[in-house]
Amino acid sequence: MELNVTINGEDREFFVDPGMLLLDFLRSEGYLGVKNGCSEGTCGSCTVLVDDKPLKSCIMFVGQVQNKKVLTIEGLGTPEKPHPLQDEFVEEGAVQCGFCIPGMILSANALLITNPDPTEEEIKEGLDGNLCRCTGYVKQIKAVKNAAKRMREEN
Amino acid sequence: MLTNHLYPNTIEEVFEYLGEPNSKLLAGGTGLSLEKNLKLETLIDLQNVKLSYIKAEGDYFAIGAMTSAHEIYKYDALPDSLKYAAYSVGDTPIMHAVTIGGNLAKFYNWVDIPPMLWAMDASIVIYNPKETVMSSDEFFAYSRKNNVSARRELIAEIRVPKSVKNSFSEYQTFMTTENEKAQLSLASYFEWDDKGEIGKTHFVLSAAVGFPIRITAIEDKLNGSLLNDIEIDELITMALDDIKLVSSYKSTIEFRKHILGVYIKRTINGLKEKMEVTK
Repeated sequence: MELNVTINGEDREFFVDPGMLLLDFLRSEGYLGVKNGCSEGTCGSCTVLVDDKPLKSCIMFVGQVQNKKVLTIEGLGTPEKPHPLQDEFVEEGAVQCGFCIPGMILSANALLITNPDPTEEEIKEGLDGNLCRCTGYVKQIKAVKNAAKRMREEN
Repeated sequence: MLTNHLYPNTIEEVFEYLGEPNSKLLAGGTGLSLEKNLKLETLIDLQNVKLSYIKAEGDYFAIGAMTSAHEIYKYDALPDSLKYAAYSVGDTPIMHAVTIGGNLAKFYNWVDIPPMLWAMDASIVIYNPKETVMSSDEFFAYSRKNNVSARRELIAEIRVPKSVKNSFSEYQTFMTTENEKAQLSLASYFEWDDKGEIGKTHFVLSAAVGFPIRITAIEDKLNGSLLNDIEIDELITMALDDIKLVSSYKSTIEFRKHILGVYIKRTINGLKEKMEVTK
């Protein structure tokens, strides 16, 4: 089937197998920041934003993003100019093994799109569904709070 | 093998595409994408069929079948019990993916939203392709025999009655960790008159039974009664005598019986408090 999708701001056209999962498709196209963790919708490592909503790409068919906007971690900031969330995760030392971080940052970004000044409870709810096996949640929550403040000041 | 992914824009187109061999409707996809050895050729994706909405209509809320659990959870005017059932569906990304229609069509026994809808006596609008409006009692009896997704029908809308003055509803669900399937869930709904006589009682039990059921023995006991005349322990015994729980590898029947007893007690105490407040 033909798939028209905007990935990280770029309009793309593909010919895909409709039985493919979105996770496998994105990784096969080189978006390796989308991590394959549990493959059953539990861990959140494969989280991407679809039309600004966080969704688990391991439990979606590729065709579900037809004519939609997909954001992976590769589309959020650059090595030269990281996104404030990426900066603050580094600043706070919120990254240990790093496997959950792309999904975690994308979920945080989805939260900040709709809620630029979240409370701690709202941050926890926004990150819910992203499991960190290194259990670094405290610093991650702090990093999101700092990034939100920075983004409000920059705007 | 899947070879087609189709995007109907209208309900009429949905039924045209259902004529394709080995085709199936796709809502959020969280269940279907996990099924192994799918003997499917065509997915009929409902994302363009404009079934994602919540509208206040007279004495009920109309909820489109493609409305996500997250949208229900965040919709202020809906009853808290229904919002909590939607929240219990899963974590934030899962709530964004799961739809109310998908939850009703593909009926896993641990699902959260359907038992609450049944307790609240919601109506379900189904196309086959003719439009039919079913009461919850009709819908659940119908789904027990064969779920809607296997019947090649479309759930289009769910109509949730608005809360009346003297009413109380609650959803309780037990899990050993937050991201697992429920071990036992109890949805309840009550109405009473100004003298405190209970006129309507619904208890819907799910997850600890093969298919959600109403606990009619205690409903009958409560209907027409004053709450002060009711012994909670007697209600619990009646409930446990009335239903047959099933075990799982995570919780025995005895454990589930205990949880059910606790939930009934909490429900009745919550009802008492609400009745006091509205006196």
